[in-house]
Amino acid sequence: MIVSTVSIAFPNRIRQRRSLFIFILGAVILIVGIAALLSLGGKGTKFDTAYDAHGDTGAFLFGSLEQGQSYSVLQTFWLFAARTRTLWMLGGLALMALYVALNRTLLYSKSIAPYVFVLPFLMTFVIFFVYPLLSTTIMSFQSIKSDSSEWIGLKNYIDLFNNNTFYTAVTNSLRYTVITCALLIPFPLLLAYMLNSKSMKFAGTFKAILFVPVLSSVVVAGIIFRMMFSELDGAMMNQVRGLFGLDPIIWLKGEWTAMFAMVLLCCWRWTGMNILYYMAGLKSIPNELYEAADIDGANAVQKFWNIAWPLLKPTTIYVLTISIYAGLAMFTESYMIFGNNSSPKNYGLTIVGYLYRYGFEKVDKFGFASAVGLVLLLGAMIINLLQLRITGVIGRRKGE
Amino acid sequence: MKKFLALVLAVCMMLSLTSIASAEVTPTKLTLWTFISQHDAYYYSMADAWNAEHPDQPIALECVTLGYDEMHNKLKVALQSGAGAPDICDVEVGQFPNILAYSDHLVELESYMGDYMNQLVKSRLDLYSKGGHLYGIPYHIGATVTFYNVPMLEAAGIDYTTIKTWDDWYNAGLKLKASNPNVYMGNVETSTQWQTSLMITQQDSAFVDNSDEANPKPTINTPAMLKAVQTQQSWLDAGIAMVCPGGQVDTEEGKAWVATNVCASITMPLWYMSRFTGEIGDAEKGVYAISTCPVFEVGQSQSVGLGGTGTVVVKDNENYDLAAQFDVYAKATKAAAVKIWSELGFDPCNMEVWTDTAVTHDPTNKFNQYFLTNAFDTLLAINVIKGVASTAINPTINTYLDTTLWNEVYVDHADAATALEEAQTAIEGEIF
Repeated sequence: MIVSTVSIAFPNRIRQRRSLFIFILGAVILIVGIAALLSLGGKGTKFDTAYDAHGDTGAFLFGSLEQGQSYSVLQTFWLFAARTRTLWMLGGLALMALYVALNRTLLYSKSIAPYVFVLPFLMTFVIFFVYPLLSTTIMSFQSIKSDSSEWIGLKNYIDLFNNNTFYTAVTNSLRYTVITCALLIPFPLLLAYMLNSKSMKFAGTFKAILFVPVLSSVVVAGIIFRMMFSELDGAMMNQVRGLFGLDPIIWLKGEWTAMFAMVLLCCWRWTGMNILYYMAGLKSIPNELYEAADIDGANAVQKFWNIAWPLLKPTTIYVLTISIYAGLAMFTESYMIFGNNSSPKNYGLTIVGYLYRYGFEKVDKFGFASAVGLVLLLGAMIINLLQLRITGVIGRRKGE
Repeated sequence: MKKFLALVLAVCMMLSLTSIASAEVTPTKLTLWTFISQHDAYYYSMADAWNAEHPDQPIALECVTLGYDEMHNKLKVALQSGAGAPDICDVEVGQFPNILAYSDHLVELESYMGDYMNQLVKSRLDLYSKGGHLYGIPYHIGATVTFYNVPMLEAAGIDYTTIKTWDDWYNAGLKLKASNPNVYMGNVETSTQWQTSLMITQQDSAFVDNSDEANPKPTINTPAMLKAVQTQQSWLDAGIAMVCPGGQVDTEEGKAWVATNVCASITMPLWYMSRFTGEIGDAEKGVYAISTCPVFEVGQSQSVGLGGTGTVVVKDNENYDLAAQFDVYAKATKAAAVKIWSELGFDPCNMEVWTDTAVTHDPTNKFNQYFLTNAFDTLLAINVIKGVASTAINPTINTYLDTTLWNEVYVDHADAATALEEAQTAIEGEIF
């Protein structure tokens, strides 16, 4: 109906020019609305109070307002934009939609269609990744209180690097990552190689047994491991020690025994998954290569080292990358094994646990927790980029 | 036009229907979060009592029991974001300072309390107050008492009533250990500080110097702390106590350990009774007597009020007025105090009940049947029950003590003085 009204109102040529103007105007209005939203620093409806109390990001953009000082024209406009942000965004979208409606041929355009189809992904990416990332970055420079937030520069980062517990958390996370990577690559590879071998009996059964833990919930598994590693004499792991004539120990209060419990849980759960990756990799290696090696008189070990291992390199790099990420992001395993986020002498404290402690367990520390999150993101990114560079996935020139 | 008229007609009918419906009283739905499963049965019974007494304002209560950390963290996030909080929520005293940071979102309860403000023990109300406003209503005083395993002590020739000081307790422990090496006189906690709090309160000390209320300071490297830690280390050295499995007796492992009947005495707040009748069960029925706690020197306070739960009402929700009325009804009235004792085994803050022997000595009461002595006889025999302040820095201090300090001094047997100095520095570094 709108379209027909508009097409009656405007002759063709004027219509097209005006409609392009409508599109640009819509985009500008939308951007203003989004910018106003972003400047809220994730505080939603409480922005008005926060802004009037001269806190929040608006103050960062335009300088702090002292008591009694009046708003400049730009500040007044920004305050107005922020308060009416929803209208701006909806209005901008409506104008852009109007442009599309006016130029109906756009709906059949081959150059635009792909963008429309990837839009759902892009939207998800922007809403759930880009926006939180930007918001976290802004928050990491702020002190977030229940009803206001204040720009405090680098204080969160200075506090973070002066805090000893942070280094404990980093050490634990790195240690856990290194150990899990060292175990979760060779053993699944070996098991996959064995399962893939033709002389393996009951391969299907073993595959199923090894894969079942992947399907278990980490919460359920964590509780069971907590019971297994209990310090009571009747607990399973102490019973196992008893079989070897050893005395029961307090598993979760020792630095390395606690780490052992966490690593064991991780290995138990993820060995099956990594076997699956390696099985897929092994299946893609053509049989002819093995046959040729057989003719050359290679034994099983030589075949593994000279055929399977090099051809499995992409799989290994993939497994290594996700293992590093999973190791650094570990939280639930520790939380469930220790029953909460505080473990004896912080033996089970990971970087994410540290973030959780400040973000959710303490009050008014969201800004600090955001700084922790960003440091973790940067750390994980640097480690993985280094790893990918060393293994040659990135940074190699064409034709090399 | 016809369609439009039909629409108007339909809307009118809908409206008239709702106005008819609202003439009847529909129960108001209230949600309540708690972290102790025993509490929700209590609230349901109080909701039934409320509905019987207030037919014009019925409520439909829905209790949700969550884990300790989970519930408090969820509540904090809900209060901070201003959405998703329950109408009523139990908040543990150690977490209360954290929740008080969001006091703008909580109902100030003093106007609903009326005369109960004066009837309830003031020091307990102070724990849940800020700036002269009351935000949570307590269940109990949480007076510490010592539970003695009478048959075990008698077998070793010990009369528990003669134990008055920690020295007496220590010597009794040696005697017990000599006659039965497989049992322990007591336990040492590594994931909480019930006994240590009692010991330092007896010496007029605390974890926090609260003299400047706006700027509380941690006080860990005090002589009182040193004495408390060294006393407990000496128990471990003599083998009369062991580090409690699970870190303290109020954990799954701790309760399982108590149920194995290897412990001659347990010093805990009185509310631990409910764990005996609950999870520990009949294995220990008729075994323990409730008595006053030992002291360092005669004349020191025999008890301190520890633990506790303040029930808050969230202002963000529509029905906060009714929720606050129910909160007062369920926690502060005498009827509530009677139920708090008879169902939960707590020492209620409404002290009218303490001397009402019809209630306290009721022979059908499950707690009176379970223990060899009467809880209120012991409570009334205590010379003084002190209180412990809870400040904004207490959660930080507790985290350090429970994760690091106790494990250093009791599990790794580190030197107490050095460990306390380190703890003081570390905790000061955590407060920023």
